[in-house]
Amino acid sequence: MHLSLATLIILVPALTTLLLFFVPAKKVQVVRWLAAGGAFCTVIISITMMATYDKAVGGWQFTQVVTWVEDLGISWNVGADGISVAMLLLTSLVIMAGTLVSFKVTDRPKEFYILLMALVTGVFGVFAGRDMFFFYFSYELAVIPMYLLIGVWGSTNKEYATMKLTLFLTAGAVVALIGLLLLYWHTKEFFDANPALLEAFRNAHPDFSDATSSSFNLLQVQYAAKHAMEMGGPASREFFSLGFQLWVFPLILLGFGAIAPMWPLHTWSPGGHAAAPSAASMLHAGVLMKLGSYGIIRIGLTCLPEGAAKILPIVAALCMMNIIYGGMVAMAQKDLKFVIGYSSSSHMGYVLLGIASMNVIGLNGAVFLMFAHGIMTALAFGLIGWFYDQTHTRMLPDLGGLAKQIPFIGVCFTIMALASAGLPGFANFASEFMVLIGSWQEAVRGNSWFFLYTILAVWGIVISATYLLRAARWAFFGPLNPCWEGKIKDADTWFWRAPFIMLIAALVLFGCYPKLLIDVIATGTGPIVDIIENARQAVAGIK
Amino acid sequence: MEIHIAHYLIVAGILFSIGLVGVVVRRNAIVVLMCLELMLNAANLVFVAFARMHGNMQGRIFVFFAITVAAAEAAVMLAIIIAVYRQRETVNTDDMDIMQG
Amino acid sequence: MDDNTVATLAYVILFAPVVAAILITLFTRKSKGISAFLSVGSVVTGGILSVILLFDQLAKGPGTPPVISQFEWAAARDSAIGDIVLNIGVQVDFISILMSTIVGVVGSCIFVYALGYMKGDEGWSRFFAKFAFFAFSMLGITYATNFVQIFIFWELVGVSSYLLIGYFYQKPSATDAGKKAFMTNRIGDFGMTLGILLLFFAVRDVFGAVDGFSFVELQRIFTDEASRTLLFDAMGWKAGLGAFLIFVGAMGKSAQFPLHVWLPDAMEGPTPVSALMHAATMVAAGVYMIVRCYWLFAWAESAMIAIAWIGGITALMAATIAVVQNDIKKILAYSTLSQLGYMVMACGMWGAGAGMFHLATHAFFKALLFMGAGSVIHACHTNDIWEMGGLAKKMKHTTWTFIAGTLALAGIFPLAGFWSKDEILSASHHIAPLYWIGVGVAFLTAFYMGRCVFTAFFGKYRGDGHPHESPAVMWVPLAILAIFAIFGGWVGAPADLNPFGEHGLQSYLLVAYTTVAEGAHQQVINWPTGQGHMAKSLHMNVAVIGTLVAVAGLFVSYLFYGSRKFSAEKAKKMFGPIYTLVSNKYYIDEFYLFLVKKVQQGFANLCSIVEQHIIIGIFVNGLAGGAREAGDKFRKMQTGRVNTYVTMILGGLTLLVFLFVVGKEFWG
Repeated sequence: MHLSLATLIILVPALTTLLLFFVPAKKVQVVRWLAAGGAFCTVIISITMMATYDKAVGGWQFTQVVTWVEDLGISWNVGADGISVAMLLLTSLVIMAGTLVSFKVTDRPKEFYILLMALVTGVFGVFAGRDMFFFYFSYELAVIPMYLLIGVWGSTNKEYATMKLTLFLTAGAVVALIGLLLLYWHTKEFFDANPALLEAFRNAHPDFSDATSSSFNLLQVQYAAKHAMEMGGPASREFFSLGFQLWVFPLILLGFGAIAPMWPLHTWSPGGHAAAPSAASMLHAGVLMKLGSYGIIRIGLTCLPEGAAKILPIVAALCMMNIIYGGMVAMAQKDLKFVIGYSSSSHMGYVLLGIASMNVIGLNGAVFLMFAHGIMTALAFGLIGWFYDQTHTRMLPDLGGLAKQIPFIGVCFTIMALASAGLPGFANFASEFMVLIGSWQEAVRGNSWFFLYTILAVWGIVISATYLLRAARWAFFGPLNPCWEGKIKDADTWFWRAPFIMLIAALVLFGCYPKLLIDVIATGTGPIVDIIENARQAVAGIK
Repeated sequence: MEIHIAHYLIVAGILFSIGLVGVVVRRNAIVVLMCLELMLNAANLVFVAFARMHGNMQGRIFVFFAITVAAAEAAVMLAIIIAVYRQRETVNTDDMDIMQG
Repeated sequence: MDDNTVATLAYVILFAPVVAAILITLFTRKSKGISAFLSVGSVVTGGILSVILLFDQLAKGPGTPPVISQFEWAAARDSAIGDIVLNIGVQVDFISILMSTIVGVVGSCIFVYALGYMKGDEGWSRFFAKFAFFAFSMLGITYATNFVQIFIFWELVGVSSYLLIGYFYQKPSATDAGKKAFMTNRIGDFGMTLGILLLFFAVRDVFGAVDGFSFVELQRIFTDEASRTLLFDAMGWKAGLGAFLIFVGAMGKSAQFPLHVWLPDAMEGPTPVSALMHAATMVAAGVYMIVRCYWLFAWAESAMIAIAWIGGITALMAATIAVVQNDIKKILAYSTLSQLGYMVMACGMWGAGAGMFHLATHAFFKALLFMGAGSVIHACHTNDIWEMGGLAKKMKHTTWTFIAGTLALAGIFPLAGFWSKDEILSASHHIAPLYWIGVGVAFLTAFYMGRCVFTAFFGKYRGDGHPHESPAVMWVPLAILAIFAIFGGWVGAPADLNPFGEHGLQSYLLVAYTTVAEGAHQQVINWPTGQGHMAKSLHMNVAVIGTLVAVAGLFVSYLFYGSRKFSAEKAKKMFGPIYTLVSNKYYIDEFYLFLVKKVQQGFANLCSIVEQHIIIGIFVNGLAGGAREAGDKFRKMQTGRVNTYVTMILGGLTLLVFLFVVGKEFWG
C-alpha cells in the first residue's frame, strides 16, 4: 500500500514506540539510538515535505484517507498544508534535539523514550490530522505521556506541576471537544437538510466519495460552514448562524487557548516547564503549546469565522496581559526555568495577537513565530537542562559566571537570549516584526484599540530584552561563583553540541532568509484569511 | 365483610413498611435480614393478590421464583453474616463500616 | 562603472566582514594569525573598495541617481491592502558611499591598531570575529535601502555593541555596561519601530500599494510638493510624531539626551571598540540616518525643532560633564556625546550637510583621540589623567598625534574640525539660543581637551610605571588618522577656499540629499529654510567667533592646568553646588537606576505577587482546593453503613414517587 509522507511521519514515531517495547531495558544504548533513529527519520521526512511541498499549488498535500469508523464518519485522514508543514518541521527538529539531549537520562531510559516517542506521535497526529476526532485523539495522546514524564522524571514540585498541567490540558481539551461535537452535529444536520451539497462535496473531493452526512472530516465541516454562510445573512440563516458561532467559537477558543496558553489560563505552563525533565520541557514549550494556537487557527478560524471575527478583538486584549504581564512576572523570577516559562507565555501572546489581527501578514507572522519560538524555547530548555543536571540549582543568584566554566553552553545561551529578545538574524525577529505590522494594519483598518496593543507589544520586546539579558548576565557573566569551579562540564564533544547547533542553525537559517518558510506558510494562511475576510464583511454592521 | 383487593394491598403495605423500618432502624444483621424477607414477602403478597384478581398465572409464577431466589439469597447472606461474625465477633451493622469514606 | 559593478562592489563591502566573522567563529578560532588576517582583511578590502566607489562617484559628478539592488526577504501577499514586502539590499549613492568610506578607512586604521592593542588577549579570535561583525552591522545601515533593513542592522549594531562592550565578560561592570547599552538602544528602537509602522501605513493609506518602507519611494513622495501636501493633510499632527519617533531611534544610537546614559559606560569595552563605536560606527548611525532620511524630517517642523533642541541640550550637558572627568576615556566619551549633540543640532536646523560633514571629520579625529588614549593607557596602565603627566617626552608619536586630534576637535583653523564646526555654527545662526549654546560648547570643548592634554602630556610624570612608546602597529594608524584630521577638512571648505573649488564635499552632499532621482531628471529641492546651496565663502563673523572662543578655551585651560596661574581647586569651590551636580552627571544615571530598580522591578514584583497569590493562589489553587474541600465534605455521605444507604434509597424513592405523582399534576 502506498503511504503518504504525512502518514509516515505519524507512523515512524509510533513504530519506534512499539519497537522500544521489545528492546530489553538493560540495552540502554540500543534504546537511545533507536529513539534517535526514529527522530532522525521524522526530520528527514519533514524536510522532504518542506522541500517537495508544491507552493504553486498550495492546499493540502501528502494526503491519505482510510476510513476507520464508517458510521461515525471517523477516518485516518491526514495531510499537510503550508501551516502543517512548518509545524511538522518544528516538531521533528525539537524531538531530534530532545532525544539527543536525553542521552543523559539514566533513570529508566527505556520507559522515558517510550513515553517521549508516544508523545511526539500524538503531536505529529495533531499537526498532520484533518479529522476532528483524530485531532482530538492525537491531542490526548500527547498529553498523557507528559503527565508521566513530569511525574516520574521531573524535579521541583513535580507532583503539583504535573497534576496541574494535566488537569488544565485535559479540561481545555474537553471544552474544545464539546465545541468539536457541536460542530459535528451541526454539520450532520446541515447535510441532512441539504443532501445536494453532500453530493457536491463527494464529487468535489474524490478522496471522500463515500462521505455521509455525519463526519468528523474537517474539510467537510469547512465545506458545510462555507456553503451555509452563503445561504443568508449572519442572523437569518438556518445553519452556522452568527448565534451558533458566537456560542461555539468561545468553546474552541477557551479549550485550545488553555493550551496556548492564553492569560489567565497560563499558570500551568511555567510550573510545568520548570518541573519537566529537559526533553519534556523542550517538547512541551516548543511544541505542545503550539497545538493550542494551531487548533484555534485550524478549526476556529476556518469553521467559525464569523464568531472569530467578533470575538478575536477581545482576545487581543488578553494577549496584552500575556505580553506585558507575563514579561513583568518573568522579570521578577529567580528560577531560570521560570524566567523562560513566563517568557514563553509572553511570546505566545504575540502569536495570539497575530491571529487576532486577522490579516495576511499578522497570521503569517503568528505561524512563523510559533515555529521560531518553538525552536528558541527548546534550545533554552535544553541548555538549562545541561547545567542543571550538574549544578542541581537553577536559582539565578546561586549561579554566576558560568560562561568561564562552560563556554559553549554560555555562547548558546546568549544566542538564545538574543534570539528570544527579537534580534534580527533570528527567526523570532522576522516573525515578531510581521505580527507588529499585522497588528498595526488592523488598527489602521478601524479598530483603534490595536494602536494601543501594538505600542504595548513593541514595549513587550523591550521587556523581553530586559529579563533575558538579566538572566544571561546573572547566570553566565560576571565572576565565576567559586563553588562551581571545576565542577561543571561543558558540552565538549560534537555529539553533545549537535542538538544545540542544529536548533541554532534552524533559527539563523530562517531568520536570515525568512522567505524560505514564509512562502510555504503563506499558502496555508492565505485561504484562511480569505474566509475570515468574507466573514468580517458579513458581520461588519452587526453589534 | 368481603375481602377486597385493597385489603391485600394494605396488609402488604404494612408488611413492607415494617420490613423497611426494620432495615433502617435495627442494627442486628440477622434482624435486618429478616426484615428484608418481610419486604420480599410483602411484594409476593401483592403479586399473588393481583394474580388472583386478574385470574392469570404470571404473578404466581413470579412468586415461586421470588421465593426460590430469596431462599438462596438468605443462605448466602447468612453465610456472609457468619463469616463476618467470625472475623469481627459482632453482627452489629454499625460496626461494619470499613467502607466509610 | 556600470550599475551592476557598483552594486556588486557594495555587496562585497557589506558582506566581506560577516563572512570573515562566520569563518573565524566556525573554523579559525585556534589560529590567531588567520583570524586576524580575515577580520582585518575584510575591513581593509571594504575600505579600499569604498574609496574606489567614492572616486567613481566623484567622477560621475553630483546628483548621480542612486543604484539600488535588493531582494525579497519576507513578504505577505495581501490582496486587500496590497503586498507588504520586506527587502534587503544595497542603495549606493553619495551619502552611503561617503559613510562606507568613513567606516572603511577609519575602521581599517582601528582594526590594524587593534592588532597591537589586543596582543596577548586570550579571546583574540572572538574579539576579531565580533569586531568584524560590528563593521558589518554598520555597513548594513549604511547601504540600507529601506526602513526595515535599516532597523534590522540597527538592532545588529546594538547587539554588536552589547557583545563588544561586555567583551570582558567576567568583569561585572563590563557586562552591566553592555546590557545598559543594549537596553537603552532598545528603548530608542521602540520609538523607531512605531515610527516606521506609522509612516508605512500612513503612506499606504494615502497612496495605495506603495512600498512605504523604501527610501527611494518615500523620498519621491516627500520631496514632491503635491504628494507631500496630500500625505501631511492626511496625517495631521501624526506627521511630526512619526518623524520624531523615528528620530527616537537615532537618539538611542547617537546617544542623545535622555538616552545618552549608555555611552560613557561603554568605555568598559577594549579601547579599539570605543574608538570604532565612537567614531565610525554605532553613534554615527543615528546622525547618518537623519541625513539619509532627511526628506522625512525636513518638512516636519515640530520634529525638527525638537531634534535641534535635543541636540543642543546634549551638546551642552555633555560638554559640561566632560570638564570634570578624570578618566581620559570618559573625557573623550563625553566629548563624543557633546559632538554628536552638535551634529544632531545642526541636522535639526536644516543643516544636514553640516551634520554629515562634521560626522566625517569627527570620525577621523575622534578615532585618533581614542586610539591615542588607548596608547597612553597601554603605556601607563591607568585611565586617570592625574596619574599621567609629562608623557610628551616619553611618547612622541602618540603626543603629537593626540595634540593634532585635540586641535582638530577644538576647531582651530585650519584643521578638520574647524571647517565642520564652522558649517554647524553657520547653520544654527538663525536660532539664537542654539547658536550661543553652540558657541559655548565650542569654548568648553577647547577647555576640556586642553585640560586633558596639559595634564596628561605635560608637566611631571605622576604615576609609578615606566611609560614607553607603543609599537608601530599602533602609532602608524594614529599618524594616518592625524593626517586626515589635519588636512581632511579642506574638502568641505567653502567654495572660495576649497582646493576643489565649486566641487567640494558639500556640493555633492547637498545634491545627494536634496535631489530626487527620476531617471535622468534631477530636481533640486528648496529646503524650508534655505540652506539649499553650498556656501560660497566663510561667514566671517561666525568663523572669527568660533576660532576666538576655541583659542580662549585652550588658553584658559593652559592657565589652569599648564602654567597653573589659576587654581582648579578654588574654581571647584567657587562653583560649589554646580560642580557637585555636574560631577554627578546631573544625577541622570541615579534617576534611571531608580526607575529600573525601584519602579520597574517593583512593578515586576507586584505582578509576580499577583501571579503567585491571586491568580495561582486564589483562582487556580482555589479551584483545586474547592474541589478537594467539596470532595471531603461529600465523602462523609459514604458512611459505610447499610442503614444509611437504605435510608437514602428510601428517600430517593420517595422523591421519585413524589415527582411522578405531583409532577404529573404540574407539568401534565
